[in-house]
Amino acid sequence: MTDLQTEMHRSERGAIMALDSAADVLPHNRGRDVLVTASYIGVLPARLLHDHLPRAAIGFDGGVGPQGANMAGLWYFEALNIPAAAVDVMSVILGDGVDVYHHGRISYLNRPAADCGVRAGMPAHEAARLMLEHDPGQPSAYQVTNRRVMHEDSDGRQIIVTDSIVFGTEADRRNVLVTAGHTGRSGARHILKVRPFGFICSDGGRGRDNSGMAGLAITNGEGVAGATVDASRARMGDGMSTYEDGVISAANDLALGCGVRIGMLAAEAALLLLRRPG
Amino acid sequence: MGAQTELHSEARGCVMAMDSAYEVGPGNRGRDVVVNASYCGVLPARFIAEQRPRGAIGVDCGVGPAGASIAGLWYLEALQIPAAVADVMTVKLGDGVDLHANGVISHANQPALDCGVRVGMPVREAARRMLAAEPGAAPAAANVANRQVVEQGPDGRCVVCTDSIAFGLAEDARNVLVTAGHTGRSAVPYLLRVRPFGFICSDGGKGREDAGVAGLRMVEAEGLAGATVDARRARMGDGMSSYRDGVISAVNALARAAGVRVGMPAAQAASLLVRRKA
Repeated sequence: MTDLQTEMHRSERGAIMALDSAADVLPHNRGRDVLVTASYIGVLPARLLHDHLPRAAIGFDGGVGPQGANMAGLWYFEALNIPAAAVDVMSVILGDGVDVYHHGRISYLNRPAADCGVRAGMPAHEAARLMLEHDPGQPSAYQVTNRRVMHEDSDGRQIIVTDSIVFGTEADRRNVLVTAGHTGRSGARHILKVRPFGFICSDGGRGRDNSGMAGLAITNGEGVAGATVDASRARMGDGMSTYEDGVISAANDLALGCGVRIGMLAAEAALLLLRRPG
Repeated sequence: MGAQTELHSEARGCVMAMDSAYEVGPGNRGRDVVVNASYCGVLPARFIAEQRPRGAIGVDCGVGPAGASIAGLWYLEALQIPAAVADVMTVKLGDGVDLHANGVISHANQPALDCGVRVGMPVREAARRMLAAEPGAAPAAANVANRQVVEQGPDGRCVVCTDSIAFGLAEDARNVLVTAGHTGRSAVPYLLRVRPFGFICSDGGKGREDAGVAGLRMVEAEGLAGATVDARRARMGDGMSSYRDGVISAVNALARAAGVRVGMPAAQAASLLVRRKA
């Protein structure tokens, strides 16, 4: 084992180094280099990199694993504002960093990596270049809203996707908000502060006494139509996952009245809420 | 609505209950354990981290796809903030006081484990332990080995679980090591350095060309008996998960000769390996 790091690319900002294992990190990688490793990107390999925090890191997703453990290092790195991404395990040779660089396909990434322009589906070598040449932002928690307009009707009402109901704005009184927190009593307080035209949130895994959807009845009493998606199907904290992966698990009477049904896809339910007679 | 409820107070800080992670405030910084009835995804972790409380307890919301509902545990770990979550079915979502009174811990990060928090513990006890423990600096990655003897075999041989083959010791030449990294070519130098009597590692999700189990055959010629567990069933980076949750996905000839078979629980395979003829 003589050559533990292979230089794949260099610029004045640092280098892209391929490593067979995250354990092969060196002090001179700190703050400069993008490490493309053929390790899984769990919390343990993330800890190994902590002593010599590189500019950015890529590992493999290990098939995600139970509770997302095989790629949980992405969230560890996010806390340190280090761009990090995982490649689909089936796209690479495990233990061969150069192969990961050439053949890896990005499957998951954290917020700092997204800031650099990295996207799911991108080749690893392209993601590594973006991580080398761009700096992540330094947003406050309130600034990471991931707000997107998914649809607009002729009367100007929109379907808005954002990661939490607390990111709702004054303008959303006329919109349908698709978000990704639970719909318990505390969620209901936030919903009633915004008073959107309609909403879809998570059921939060329901909890004892279906407390994760208790807000549906509370908001119904205040004239706000809404529904929840099953938290076992859509990722909490990710509004786009609610919209794309969500399956309706419960709805209040106002939402049922405009045709929303349990088992329906969230995107379809959002459209029905948007067209509800006001 | 009172945003926070004080449940316990002493000189070093308080256990405070709140209905939502958004209600963690500057007054909690460095002092309080915040028991908040939110999920513990990356999004609420961003809000918690900005206030740097002494510890945080949320709700697992059923863990969710790719572990998204508890991914904040790993975010907070990077900042050395002890954090844990309660099983969603034990609590009322959106009710911090209920979470404290009735919650049962389902997952915890390493700083929380270091405080004495354990899975299955009542939330109120976990909160007290977080409050009582000195935070301390993060241990070096190599010191987070989670080494545990799980079975005594014949002739002084043991089955030992630890999170990575890199944590193997000289004395493990007589032991069976159950670890949680992949078994690709980069694992081979570690296996040959330790030369365990037997080993069980992860298949890492196998990868292209079954690269994640390629090490099995490479070490066979050196007389090492070993097998892999399916990375979809056991958490990578968690040796105890390999042992408890692992299902054998591949074996080398020496392990097969000892009776280890694909589909077998890892604990049974480890037992066979520790009793194999030298």
